[in-house]
Amino acid sequence: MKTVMIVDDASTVRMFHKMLVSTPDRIIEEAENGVEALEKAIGTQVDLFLVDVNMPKMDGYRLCKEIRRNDALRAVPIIMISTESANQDAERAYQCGANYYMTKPVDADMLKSVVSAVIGESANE
Amino acid sequence: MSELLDVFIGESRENLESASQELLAIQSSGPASERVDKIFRDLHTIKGSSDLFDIKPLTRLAHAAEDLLDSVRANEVAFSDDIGDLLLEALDQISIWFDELEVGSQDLEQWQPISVNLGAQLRHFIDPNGLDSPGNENNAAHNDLTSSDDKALTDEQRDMLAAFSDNADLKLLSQVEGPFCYHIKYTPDEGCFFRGEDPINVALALPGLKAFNIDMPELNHDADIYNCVTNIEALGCADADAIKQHMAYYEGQYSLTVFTSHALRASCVDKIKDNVALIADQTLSDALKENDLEQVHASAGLLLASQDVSDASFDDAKRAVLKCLSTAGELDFLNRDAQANESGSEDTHIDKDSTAFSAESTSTDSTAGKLGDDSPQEAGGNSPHASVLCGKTLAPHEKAILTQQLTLLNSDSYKSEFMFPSIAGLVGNILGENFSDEDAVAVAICNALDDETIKEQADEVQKQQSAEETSVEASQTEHTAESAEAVSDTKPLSSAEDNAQPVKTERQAVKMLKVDQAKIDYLMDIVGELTVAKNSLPYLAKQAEEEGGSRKLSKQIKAHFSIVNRLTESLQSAVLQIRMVPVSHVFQRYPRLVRDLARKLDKKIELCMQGEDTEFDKNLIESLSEPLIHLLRNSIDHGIESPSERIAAGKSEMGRIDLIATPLDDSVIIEIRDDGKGIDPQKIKLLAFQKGVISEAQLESLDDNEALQLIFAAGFSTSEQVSDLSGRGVGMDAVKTMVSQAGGTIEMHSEVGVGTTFKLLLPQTMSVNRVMMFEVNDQMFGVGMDAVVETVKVPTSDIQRIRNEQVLVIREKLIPLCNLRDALGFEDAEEKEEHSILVVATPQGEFGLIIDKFHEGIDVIQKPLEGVLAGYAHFSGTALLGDGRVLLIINVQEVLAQCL
Amino acid sequence: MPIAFKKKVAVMTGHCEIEEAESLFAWLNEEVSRQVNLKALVSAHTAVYQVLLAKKPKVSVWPESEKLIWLTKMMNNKSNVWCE
Repeated sequence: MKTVMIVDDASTVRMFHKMLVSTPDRIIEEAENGVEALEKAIGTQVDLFLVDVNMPKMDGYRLCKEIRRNDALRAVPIIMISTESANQDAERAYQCGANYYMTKPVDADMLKSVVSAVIGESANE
Repeated sequence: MSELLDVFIGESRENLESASQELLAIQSSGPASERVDKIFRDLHTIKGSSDLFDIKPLTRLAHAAEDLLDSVRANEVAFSDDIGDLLLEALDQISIWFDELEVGSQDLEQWQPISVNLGAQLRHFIDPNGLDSPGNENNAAHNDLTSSDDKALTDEQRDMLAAFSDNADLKLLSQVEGPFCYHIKYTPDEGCFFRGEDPINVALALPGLKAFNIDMPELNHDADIYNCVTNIEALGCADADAIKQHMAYYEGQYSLTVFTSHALRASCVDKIKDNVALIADQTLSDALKENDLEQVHASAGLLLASQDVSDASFDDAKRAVLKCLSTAGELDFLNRDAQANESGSEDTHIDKDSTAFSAESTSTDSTAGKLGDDSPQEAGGNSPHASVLCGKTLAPHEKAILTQQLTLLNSDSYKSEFMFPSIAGLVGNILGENFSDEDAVAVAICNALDDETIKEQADEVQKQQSAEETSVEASQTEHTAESAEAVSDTKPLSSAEDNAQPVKTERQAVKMLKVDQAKIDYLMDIVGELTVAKNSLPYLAKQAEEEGGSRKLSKQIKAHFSIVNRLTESLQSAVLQIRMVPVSHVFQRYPRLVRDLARKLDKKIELCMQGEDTEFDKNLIESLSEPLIHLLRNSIDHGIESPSERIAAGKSEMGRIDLIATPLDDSVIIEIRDDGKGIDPQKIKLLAFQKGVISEAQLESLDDNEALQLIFAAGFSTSEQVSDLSGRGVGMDAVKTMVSQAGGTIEMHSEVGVGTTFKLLLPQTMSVNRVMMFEVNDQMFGVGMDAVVETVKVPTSDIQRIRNEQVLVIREKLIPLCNLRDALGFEDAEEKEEHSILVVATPQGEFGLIIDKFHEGIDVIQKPLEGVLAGYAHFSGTALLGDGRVLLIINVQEVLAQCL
Repeated sequence: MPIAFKKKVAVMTGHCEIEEAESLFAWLNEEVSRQVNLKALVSAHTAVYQVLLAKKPKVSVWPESEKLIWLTKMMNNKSNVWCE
């Protein structure tokens, strides 16, 4: 059972991503911003963060940094999903500790495959 | 799907509501930055979410509003009431559209002009100089929308399609999916196979691939099949980002053209009409004239199904046209484009056209959405090849992820403590392995991205290596235990072999402990100081006896010294063991190297490695890598013969290189043995003579073995024809220098026709040196014990002068002397009857150093020179003595070079 | 062994790696009349495809795998392949 946490302030986007990455074998957690994500993640087993960039309270970049500084969460991979495709945003995401960067709206199949690969479920469908 | 739409509408209404309130608040009480920020965020959310649905006009309007607020936020645009009013208008408009979406009565065709108009007004505030007529979109909107370029394909694009094949445009149109099509010309480099690339399979996995062509020149019998000569051209449906992502690995090897599906369709109108006329089916023509979509679908479908495949008159073009018509979402484009072309006022029409098209694709799936549109396309594009990729090779997205992790590992901002765990875990998930350090991950990624065989090999090495690492790290615990034992048990400083034995058996069970190398180095330093401190005990004992007059105390101190000494040695050995890594660390890179080079040279070579688990100090092993590569290259290039030569010589076609590491006491022997043609001493001598390395007299006198050693002379290359693999004159002398810098020696044996063996003898650890101490001008100096040949005391009269040089004859051997007092800049000593001479061996032969007084040998941890001393080449390092004095260690070579 | 070289026919099976390209090329070069049996071939490295497409040897059995329809077409001297 793997847990994927979707962090995005837009509930539509959360729902869309949830629809894409949900499988019977996965637990999907949702958070509206970085603060909520950290609160929920600490004390839970999270296997992957899907993180939006632009969010109130704590944005995606900050969240990445916080996750990387946190002993309990450090090893969790992070996929950043941003509206902006500009290279410097990807650059910044990687500097903050993201493992992978994708642009919105994400290609449905691509997101599915990437998530499967990252959490180590066979990508063969 | 409709659920998602409901959520979207619900959420967006909240965003709209909040944005409107903030706007009103701003208008009454001024633009506070948090407020602007909030509105920006609301619009950003609406824009982002709307992108999930095919409601481009709304997305575009929200985007324009967001951009304007972004400019306000950045203080590029001053907030005015006009802006506020316009934003409110935009919000209202979006709200109206949501009403329509909710009941399903949206008409995107009507939305479009409103969106364009309002968007342009919003953007006018950002850039007043931009195009301000509402009918025109400015640049930002331009990029967003596909429609603006929709007019038709450019001539170049048409030519490109025509060049691909006859009616490529029609055929592509008949299979079109999604808003974008691409043409890609993929010309892989000749050498790409060596980088593990597999161009055809890469091309087959292109997203939305529809057609491709492989261009290949004829291959001569002697062609190098490991040169890639394949050129690929492909057509498909996907946007530029998807293709770029797929091809990210092959940057610079391809050229990509992307055009919209609408443009393609617009360009095909004439052809469609011509072919419809050729098909000459009354029902179809009538249906088209009447714009009866259903009837067109039906009759085109019927014609398509009933046509005789063998009917020559039914060519590809007609079939493609029927296919287009049987699936067309609407038929207006046929007429409208004609009108547009005639009237010349394309803009609005095209806009309408695109809207109509999106509306239509929306309507197929009642609530619309990217999901419905894209997934079949992607699936259709990928599935035929997916299984090929997943089974043996990595899927493109996996490659992309892995590549990214490698980039992260190598990036300047990489911080191991923060990033390593997630990267290791992620890569582990994809590759199904576990990693303990960055190198292992990096190697694993490189290997995974490589082709299959290599991957398998590396896997093995990898496993071995991680097991090995376990042992290295385990030895920490191991040795703590051992040193505890050592108190009661007078076990001598244990060799690596002794230690490796028990560790090996425990390998599986041991828990890993990952330690920063800096910490180990620090531990090493402390141990070094402890060694030094321990050395002060004998002084103390001596003092106790001489000054305190207590033999008993002296004896007790000495007894304690032996215990402390033993403990220190054990501790030292334990720490050194931690730093030990198996030679597989460097060996594992070689199979690939050998394979690549052998292939390049058209040779068949098998590399056999032995003793990969022999352990070495980590620093040493790294300094070893380069000379070993050089030697391997040498064997591959100059040693092993070509298959035909080998067969002619009665050997097997496959050459063999053995790479063997064997521990020997405190050293390790590394042998590189090839079964190649060997080195002919006569040839070497002749070449050396030609190059002026030896004199004519030497040409006569040198025996075979001496001749062979000439290969290590500076600027020597044995192959008459210098290849690009090795040679280049920096051959063996460079290797020899590197090996001796690491404290080792190198020998070479060779037999013509049988093969060549290089034998490297290297110290297993580099940190503890045995040093001979001596005194000059009342100061202590040291010289590496391994350089010392003998110590002699000779009467001054025995020292002779030959041409102003002092020499000494010892056992009929002439030994040049160097007075260290001169060399080190001290004043000459008063005349003495007897001189102490330290005879040292150097590559140039034996020399005698005239010193004042001999002292004992001592184990020291040599440290590099620091600070002001760093510039003095005379000394190779310093060490602390037990009584706190600093011992300067002489660099014999340098000193001699200066004094002779 | 993904390629089994018989007297007249090389039988290619499964996935053929880059290493196979060399021996296949040499073997095809030895005699013009040599054929390939692609029945059980599933995929191959570009280098192997390169040899097949450049030499276009006679094919005794075409590949059964649907993934290789393109190869069949190309080896039948069709320059462009459309995925259906």
